[in-house]
Amino acid sequence: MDARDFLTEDGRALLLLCSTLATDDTASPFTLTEWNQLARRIHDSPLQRPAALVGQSAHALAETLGVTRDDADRIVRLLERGGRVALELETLFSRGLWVVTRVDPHYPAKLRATLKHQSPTVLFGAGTLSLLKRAGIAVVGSRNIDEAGTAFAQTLGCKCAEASLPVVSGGARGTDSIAMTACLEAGGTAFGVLADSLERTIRQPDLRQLLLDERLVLLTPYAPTAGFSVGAAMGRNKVIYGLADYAVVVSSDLQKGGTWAGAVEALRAGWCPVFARDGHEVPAGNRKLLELHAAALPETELESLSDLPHWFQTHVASREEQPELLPMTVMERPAKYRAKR
Amino acid sequence: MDRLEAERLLQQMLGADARFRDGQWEAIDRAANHRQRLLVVQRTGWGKSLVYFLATKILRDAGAGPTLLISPLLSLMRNQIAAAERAGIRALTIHSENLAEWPQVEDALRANRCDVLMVSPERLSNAGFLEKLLPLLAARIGLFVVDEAHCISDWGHDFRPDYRRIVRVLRHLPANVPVICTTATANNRVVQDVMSQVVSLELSRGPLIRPSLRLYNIRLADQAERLAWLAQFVPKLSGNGIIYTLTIQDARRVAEFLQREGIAARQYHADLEGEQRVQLEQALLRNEVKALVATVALGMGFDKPDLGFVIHFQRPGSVVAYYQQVGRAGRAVETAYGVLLSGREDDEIADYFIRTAFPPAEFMQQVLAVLEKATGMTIEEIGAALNCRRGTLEKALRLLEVDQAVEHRKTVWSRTANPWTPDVMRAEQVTALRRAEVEQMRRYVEHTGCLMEFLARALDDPSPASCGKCMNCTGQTHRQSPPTELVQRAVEFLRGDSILLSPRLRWPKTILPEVQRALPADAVVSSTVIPEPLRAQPGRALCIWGDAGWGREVADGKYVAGRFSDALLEAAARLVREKWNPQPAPAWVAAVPSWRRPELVRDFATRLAAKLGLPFAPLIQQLRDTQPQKQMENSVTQLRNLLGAFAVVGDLPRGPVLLVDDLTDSGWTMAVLSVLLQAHGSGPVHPFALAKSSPRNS
Repeated sequence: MDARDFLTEDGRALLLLCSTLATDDTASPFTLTEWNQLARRIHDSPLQRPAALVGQSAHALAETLGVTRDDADRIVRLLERGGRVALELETLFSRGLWVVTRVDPHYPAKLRATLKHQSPTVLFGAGTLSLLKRAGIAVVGSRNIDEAGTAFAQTLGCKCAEASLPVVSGGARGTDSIAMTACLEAGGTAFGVLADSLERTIRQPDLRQLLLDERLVLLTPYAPTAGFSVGAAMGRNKVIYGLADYAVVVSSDLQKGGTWAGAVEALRAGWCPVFARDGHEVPAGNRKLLELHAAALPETELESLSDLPHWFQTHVASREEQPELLPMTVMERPAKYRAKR
Repeated sequence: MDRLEAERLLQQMLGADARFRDGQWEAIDRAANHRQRLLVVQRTGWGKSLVYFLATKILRDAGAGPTLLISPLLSLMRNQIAAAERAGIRALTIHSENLAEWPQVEDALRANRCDVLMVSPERLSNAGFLEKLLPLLAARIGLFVVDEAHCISDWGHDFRPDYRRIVRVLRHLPANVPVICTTATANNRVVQDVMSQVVSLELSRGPLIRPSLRLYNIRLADQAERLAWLAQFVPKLSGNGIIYTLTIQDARRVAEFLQREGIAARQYHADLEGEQRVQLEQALLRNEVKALVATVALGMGFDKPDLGFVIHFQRPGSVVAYYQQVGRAGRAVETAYGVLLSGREDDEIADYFIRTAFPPAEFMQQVLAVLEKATGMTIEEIGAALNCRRGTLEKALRLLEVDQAVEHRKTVWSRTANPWTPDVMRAEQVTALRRAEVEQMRRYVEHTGCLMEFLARALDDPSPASCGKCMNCTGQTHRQSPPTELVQRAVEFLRGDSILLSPRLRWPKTILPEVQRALPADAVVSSTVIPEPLRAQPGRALCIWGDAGWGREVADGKYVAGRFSDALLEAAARLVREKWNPQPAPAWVAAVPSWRRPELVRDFATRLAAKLGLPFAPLIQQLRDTQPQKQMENSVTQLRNLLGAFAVVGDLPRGPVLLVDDLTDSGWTMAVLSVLLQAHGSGPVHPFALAKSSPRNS
């Protein structure tokens, strides 16, 4: 058994249905929303499990699942490419990548618990998957960052390393890489959630070494060879928040940019408690986030903090619990955290 | 589809009187109608291709996607493909040598006009194939066929890293895709290993005994005696055959000796071009040669049903390998001969192959450490960073690639993000197994019972029995010796069989700046090419170090007597004057100096010069001690060891020079001294060495 093969039979089916791996124009993979609906139908049908769809005729699927004939055809076409996906997976595995889906036991539990039906169906990654069990601190911010922001991100990265808390970040230029590098250089651990080019990224010798040393995990909800797109950069934000116990916004533009959008969404959905850097000259976005009930992490206080986890715990802002709009089906219901007043 | 209908298709393929052989229909039925995964172990010629072609037909008729067939033997499957076509099965091939046909294959796949896509194992890791052709398999694979499946097992001798990849692909394959793995050589250990790696395989196994084959074992210690035996008995054997040797050098020698004795024998090994090898195979298929003298390079898939004999010049390392090779004879003829000659050098060669099979774990870790610092490196660059033999490095990379710790794209190797820990236990187990296999072959050579039964039992044949035909069953154990004058001719042949020393043509790119600093300015011009006026001429060596001709005499002179004998002097002079006759003829003689033993070569060169009537000029000086070249493991370190170590002093005699050394290995000493001599005004340099070291297998 391959140590990096985390796919169960159900996971393999889910991968075939939802990943763009080895797809052509004859059938497009199921989007997250579409899958959530299909998962519900599978769960409510006699088939019960995604793996049970493999080998069924389109006619039978339309009947049992109550889907349109077009959708049934699409399912059959997607599942038929198992042989080719097998070959592509083999290539990915041989390079040190792994893949795990939402129905597999090795899927990061925290991510599933936090994002629920919004958690990505498929994750590709490199490095030791089980490291993701550790609670991390999300450090987010814009690519262009001022001196104070840089110093803050660096200090925060070091503090995380000291407290043995992984930094969770997007691995992009600016805030992301400053915080991650500071944490890694101080002997800490980091999780990089990439929006694109995972396959190319892990070929960089310094990153590859950190992956081999079990200090770094890189992951992405997109195909490992996917190029950059704005949508993808936004879409991976929720994974960053979903893997973290707390999030810190170092600097955000106001009403624009990925950092702003992500932080607002995190506050609204309650993925995890959100802190924003506070100080005399923080960007307008930070100020607005503080107004929107992000908790404050003052620049002046960070330097002298000795117990980071404890400080976060005692400074979480209050929030209202969001009602569950779409009930969980195949996945188990997560335990909800309660915010402290 | 039922048996009757399938049998009609079989008859379309092979003729009206064709019937299924034992087990064929059962295998087709299990794979195609019941979608099982099968491991089919049947002897060559049983008709394994028939099973997967007919299974394909049934699945295609039921609307399944095309079959993906992985086989290392594609170029030799033309007959089977033609037969399949008669039953309306369209098979197309993709391998590295038919790039031009890829577009047609693409079109056929697009139009769903391809029933079987046949690819070589290495295609599975080829980006062009994965990205361009694979997506065209109408997005689905109906049946997955793995030919020569024993290559999956690393207990087997034919283990191929590409097959490890196939195993992993099979693992990711959905359960509804049927699989057929086929092999003709798999003992229980290999069968179990294959079945443990490819889950839910069902076994279909038949007898391995080949009733037409008459087995003989003949022990003749000296190569000369064996050469003589071949020259005497090969012409008496009916039909055409293969003579297997363990090394390339021996393949060449045996072929040359047999040619000299008037037998149409040709050498066949990995040093020949692919096209040349195909021509040689064709020549044997058309009975235009009596025998190919081949290394294991003439391997799996060479199929000549009427092959009359397989003779082994040396003892192979295992029963599996021996059965595979001897089993090529007598597939479709009433009587064929399998003769195993064995001799003095067998144990030594077997031991060499075993010792060098696994590079030490520390070395593997060094290779990784070097790769970890870089994005990607060529083999030459890795070799330059580590003092290692290229062969050892290639083995290490191959093993690391199997473990997915490294990958390569074209010629560039890089570290993957997969962790690696050495599996020392595994290497030790495999080594112990190899030793046990050699021991089993020793027992086979001495076996007094039925030889075929011995092989069948060793291969876990389900129904071993006495053959009644081998030398022990028929009591033909009395050995006929070849006539003494033939043996004498063989001895003379071995003694007169000089070795060509090809000159070095290029400097290693990785240390070009060092070469530039150490050698005269015109030695390195713009590229790595050594300028023609400074290059050495093609040289000669009297023998291979330690061989049965002059080899032992050279070793004796160097390490026991401390002086090379007059017999060697005679032989060397004869070689230079008569056989070689280098042009333009040498006008003087120089010697490669030695720091530690200054007299040995100089003495010999002086005597040789006198014998040839030429002046000897000791004008090359060694400026510092160098490590023995044989301790330098690769081309780069060998050359580096020499740079700046020599100088040419004084006025050189005009004209071409004979440059004498005792033992040559990499050829770098000759290359560097040729540059120095010619840069100082000498004429062309003809290198001569008493012996050349390092044989190679395959």
